[in-house]
Amino acid sequence: KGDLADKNESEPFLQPVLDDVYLRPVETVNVFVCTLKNKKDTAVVLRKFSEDFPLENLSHLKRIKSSKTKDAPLQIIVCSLEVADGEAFKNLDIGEESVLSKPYCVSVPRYPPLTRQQYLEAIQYWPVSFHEDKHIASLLSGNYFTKEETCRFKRHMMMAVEYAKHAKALSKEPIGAVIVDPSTDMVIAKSHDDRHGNHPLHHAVMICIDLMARSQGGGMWKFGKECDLYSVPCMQSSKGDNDSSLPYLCTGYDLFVTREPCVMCAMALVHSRIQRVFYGSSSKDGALGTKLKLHVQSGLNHRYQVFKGLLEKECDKLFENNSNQT
Amino acid sequence: MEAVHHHWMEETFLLAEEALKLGEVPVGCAFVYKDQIIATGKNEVNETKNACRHAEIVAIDKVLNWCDERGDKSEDVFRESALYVTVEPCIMCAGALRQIGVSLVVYGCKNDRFGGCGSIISVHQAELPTLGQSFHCIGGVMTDRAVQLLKDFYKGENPNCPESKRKIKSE
Ligand SMILES: [Zn+2]
Ligand SMILES: [Zn+2]
Repeated sequence: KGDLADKNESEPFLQPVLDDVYLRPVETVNVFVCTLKNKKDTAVVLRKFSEDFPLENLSHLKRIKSSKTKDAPLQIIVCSLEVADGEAFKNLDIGEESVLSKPYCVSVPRYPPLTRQQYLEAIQYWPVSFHEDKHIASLLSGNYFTKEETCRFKRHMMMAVEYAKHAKALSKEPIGAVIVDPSTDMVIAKSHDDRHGNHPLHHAVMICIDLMARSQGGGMWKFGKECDLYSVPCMQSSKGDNDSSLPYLCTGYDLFVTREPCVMCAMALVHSRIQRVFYGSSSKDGALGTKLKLHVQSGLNHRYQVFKGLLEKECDKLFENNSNQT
Repeated sequence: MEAVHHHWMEETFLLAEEALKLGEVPVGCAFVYKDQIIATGKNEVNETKNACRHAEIVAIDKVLNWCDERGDKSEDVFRESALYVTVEPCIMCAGALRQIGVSLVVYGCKNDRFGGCGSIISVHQAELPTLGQSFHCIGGVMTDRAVQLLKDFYKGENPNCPESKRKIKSE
């Protein structure tokens, strides 16, 4: 498989599918700002403002904006627009000719920046503090995985592609899935799609999850002839799970699937506590990046990492001449 | 209308109580087609060791078998069926219900943890054409009884319980 590793070296692939909060452009909100006429008053004004008007939801903003040029005025945030109802503002001793200018509106970043890109965009508006999340930065860097790891991932995805090809040959939806235990690199279950057969819920991912349960003596579905294809290695639990009454979960496991999962499959992966999902090509109503981002949905008790674009071309090609286009 | 809903819901509660006795999350459901129950389901997560074995999925399997035996087309049967379930279907089950093309879902209490019909997201009405047509929901039928069952279940789950009695909360 050496050729696979070398090919596409320069092409971007394995893109992390992150929560929108990391990707959104900077949103702004209006605040009242005054100009300080004399720098020596800074400390006094600053103390008064931080007591009277703490920047509750805007603590990422620096209170003062100074300019590089020497004689430029200092600008200081008074408060957000909501706080400054007419009355409160009147009681303020600002607008005094000697110390402060009349307050005026300025657009400032509404949220703390979470990525370097957001930070650089935010400071175009107003100075902000920025605490870089090392993990997110690493994910965005493009070097999150080692060469050796990506090679392994490609190998697993290639197996899913083989299964998808098999499904295609049988006029089934050309989607394949593989569950792997990354700690041992062992394949736990492999499947292909069969939703247009006898059972509309037999999506590749749902079958794969059931096969995994089956490998532990569980499982819910019976499969037809194609079952011979599905790999269910008989093995003892490697997880030291001594409570046999608990469901067998995908904790710590990776899923490789050629097509972005639908919302049913994406939620089945939440229930099964999968660790990471790698998919090849996006789907029109996909739930892991296209229409929804269920893996980072707020309110749910489990989240998982998602990477897309692994062997994307190969996965896309599977759908050539396919009328279903799910 | 209300009375009809209550009638079918009574049946689903018997299943939920059965699940509770077996140590499963107490959720029960029934597919009603042409004024009769054609399939029922209760949560079987621990029994099958499959975290996706929710009551709705169990019942869908049974409807498919029922159709198979009679030689009916399952799409036609699902389209004319209503699902009665004690708790709002989760996101996964709501997705499944769209794929099979059910047109009405009647449920008891909301599902704050995983609800797919409004509580966490609205899969039943979302713009997801490849998933199948959207479906209509009637919630809040016999809510108190559904809530009480869930309370009874989670009561048995406090950390002082022996390890083996604690179950994964899956619905
Ligand atoms: Zn699916
Ligand atoms: Zn469910």
